[in-house]
Amino acid sequence: MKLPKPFVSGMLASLPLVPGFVPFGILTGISAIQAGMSPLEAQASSLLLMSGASQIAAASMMVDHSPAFMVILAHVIINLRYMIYSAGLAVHKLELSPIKKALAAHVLIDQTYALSHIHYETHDLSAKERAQYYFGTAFPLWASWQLFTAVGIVSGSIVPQGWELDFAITLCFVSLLVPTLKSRPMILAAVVAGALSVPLASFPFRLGFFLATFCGVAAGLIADSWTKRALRRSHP
Amino acid sequence: MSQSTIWIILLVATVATFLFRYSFLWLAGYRQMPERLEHVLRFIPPAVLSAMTFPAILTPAVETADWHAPRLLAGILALIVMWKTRKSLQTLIWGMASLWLLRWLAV
Repeated sequence: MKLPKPFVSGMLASLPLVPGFVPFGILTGISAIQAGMSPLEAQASSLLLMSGASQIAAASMMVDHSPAFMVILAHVIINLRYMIYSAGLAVHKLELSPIKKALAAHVLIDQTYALSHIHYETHDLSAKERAQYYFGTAFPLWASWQLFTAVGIVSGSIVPQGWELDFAITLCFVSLLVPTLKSRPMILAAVVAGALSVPLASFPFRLGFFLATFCGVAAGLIADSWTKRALRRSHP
Repeated sequence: MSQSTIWIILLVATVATFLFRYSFLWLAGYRQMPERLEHVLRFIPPAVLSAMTFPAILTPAVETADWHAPRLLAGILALIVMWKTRKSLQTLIWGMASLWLLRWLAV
């Protein structure tokens, strides 16, 4: 069997991102096991969700015995951004059967969207080739995510506490956070949410976390509308 | 947390996450994303990721009123490394190495 050329070039484009998935996938597996999930549940999380940030956030909430509703809410808030990618990918009008469309949605993550979007902007492909390229970018990332989650699940129970691997999870969040700081209002959103999350951490049911996030988003939006108004005033 | 609760969380989160990803692919051609909605959604990742990160870095320092707390210093170093290099692997290595080094020095 010969793979379609766009599929192969999609794979080649996403392969350099695989090393970044190694620690993140392993830590996702470890944190799921330490949160009290069975190996089956931990692997099912990666198969069903494939959303590293929300999987790890959910695990850390389960460690703190947050109610189920709050854990679900964390998944929802962290994964809402996929709607942006969904809209962004829809613009490129890929040729997809209903089943392939569902499959494309399932593997829509930050990396597959970013790689495909950049490629479509710079290459002239047919609708069918665009779909092939997209699935090409998804395959290595999907496979490595499943594999390294499994490695984490197996090693989850043998890692000594003294290594402080929960801090490695924090560092993964640092590496996710920094690229989102694209403008000053966005930095403000992060600073407000981060600064509030510390004193509010003692609120029950992790309410402080959601309150801090909400205040951060509100502060960012307000600051953004102010800067836009100021710009309009200086350039009428 | 009971096993059935874990499965309920998993299934509800899976359905919700799938619907977010499927939403506009399904609507394709009929409706575009409202600009206002996209604008609001773009501010969620910096806020939510920051609210996940800061307590782990700052809480030990705040609780002990010790601004030399290893997690604070290692966290700041990691932020700088990520800001400068944009490489998650280097961020992880520098952050963990500095944490372990600071712990070892304190003993």
